[in-house]
Amino acid sequence: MNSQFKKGALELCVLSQLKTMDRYGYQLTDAVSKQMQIAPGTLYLILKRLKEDGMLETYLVESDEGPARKYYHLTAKGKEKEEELEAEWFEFVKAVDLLLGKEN
Amino acid sequence: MSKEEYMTELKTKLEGFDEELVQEITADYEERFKCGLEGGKSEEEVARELGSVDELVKELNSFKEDKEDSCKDRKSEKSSFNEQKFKEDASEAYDEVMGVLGKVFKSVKTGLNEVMKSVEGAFSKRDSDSTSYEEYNATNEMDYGMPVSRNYTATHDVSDLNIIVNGSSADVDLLMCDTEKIAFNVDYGAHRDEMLYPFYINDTDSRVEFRIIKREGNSAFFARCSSTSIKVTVSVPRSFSGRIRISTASGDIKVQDLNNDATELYIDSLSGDLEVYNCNLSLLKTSETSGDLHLGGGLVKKIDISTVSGDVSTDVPANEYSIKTTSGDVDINNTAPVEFERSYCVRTTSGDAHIKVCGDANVDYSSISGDLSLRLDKTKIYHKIHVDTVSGDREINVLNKPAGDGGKEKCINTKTVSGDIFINLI
Repeated sequence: MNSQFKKGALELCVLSQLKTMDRYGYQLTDAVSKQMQIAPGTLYLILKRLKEDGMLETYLVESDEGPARKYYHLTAKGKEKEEELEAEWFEFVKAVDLLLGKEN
Repeated sequence: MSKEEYMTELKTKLEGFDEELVQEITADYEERFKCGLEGGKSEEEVARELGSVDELVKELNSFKEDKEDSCKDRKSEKSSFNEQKFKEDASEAYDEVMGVLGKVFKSVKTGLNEVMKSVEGAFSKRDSDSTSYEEYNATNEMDYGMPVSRNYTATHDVSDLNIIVNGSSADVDLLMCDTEKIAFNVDYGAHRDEMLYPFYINDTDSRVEFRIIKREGNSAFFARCSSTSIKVTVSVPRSFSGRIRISTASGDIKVQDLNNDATELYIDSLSGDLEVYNCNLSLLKTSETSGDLHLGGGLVKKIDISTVSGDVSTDVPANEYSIKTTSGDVDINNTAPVEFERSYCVRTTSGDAHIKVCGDANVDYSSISGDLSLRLDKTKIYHKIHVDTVSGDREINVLNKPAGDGGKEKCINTKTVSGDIFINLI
């Protein structure tokens, strides 16, 4: 799949996973890689980008089973971005569906 | 490939990528092996599922291309320094920087112009409008001989109006009265406060803004002597409708008896406590840092609360509750029956939540370590109880469920990592 295209879609997937609750890395990559063919490690690059752009914040929570877990939290800016991307996505899908003749 | 072989290859091939990124990826893959083995898979199977490391590196690189990533690129360039490329990059960077600077200058310039325009506008308005000018001056004059309470009565109509109250360290009381105009009354506990904290009014057609501004300069020295005790009372006529915004730094806020259900109330405070009693509103939106919040009586269509460490307690019925706290506890008591269906969305990090509801409701709770106790009484429809915590305990009681509900989808969905769950359906 075209990497730019995939990247945009993955950003949306990650943001939307964080909309209802904070999650730590493994929870996120597990949820996304279950549905999509993608190396789980790739998502960390996307998470890093989103954090650098101020869409996400992180905090550490001690864990009984190993090192502390880094939780990701959606910022107000991230929430806005998510809504924007989601709207764009549905519009895009609708347009493609129309062109493919799946919708009358 | 065994786990060890896979992890070694992973670490070797990720060398040169951002260190934190590599750490996160390896921790993730470690956990995948652990979960896989616990689930009865062999190391080889998990390694196969994870896919080849080369594939991951390829994918990572393809996502990097659009934006030069700090560490890796710098490292790889150092090893194979290419003067021509360096020059190209440098000139590109130079153009980019100049472009950004140009934009910054432009926006600063337009910003300044706008500020100047509004300042000029304010001056010319004050000069032309003699009554407000006098009022402005009157509150500015410091006179020890004057009474300690000051009043201002707004002059215009009260429908579809914005009221803005900025109380700083003063307490603010807002209540509905049998008056015809909006009135502000400031009660200074001490002469010194009156001198230090003059208030200003900006009164236009669509809004009345009240603001206490601490006086700067030598006199501010006295402010350190003791805390202030200023109380602002805002009286709002019964016919009022519109939006009210109250903000304070440390002052407490109390709002009572607003009865127009089209009115929206916005409150911001750092450490002040907030109380709202018997108000019918379309929206109540609050944002606090450490102040506690208490809502009692009335009816609000939508309540949106966010606080860091303040506790929230409420018995106000609302169609929609959205509460977000970090460590504050949440207590919702909606046991009085109502006709409409309600939804509760509560998010906390470590705050506990106690929710008691009588009638139909959707509940969505998520927390990291907060406990939840939820009691639903006479609830026909609970098609979306969603509870998600990492280590909090939860207890859910559904009581007196009426027979023969309307066939709505019902679902209690709870998830926990280490907390206890107790569900009681009667």
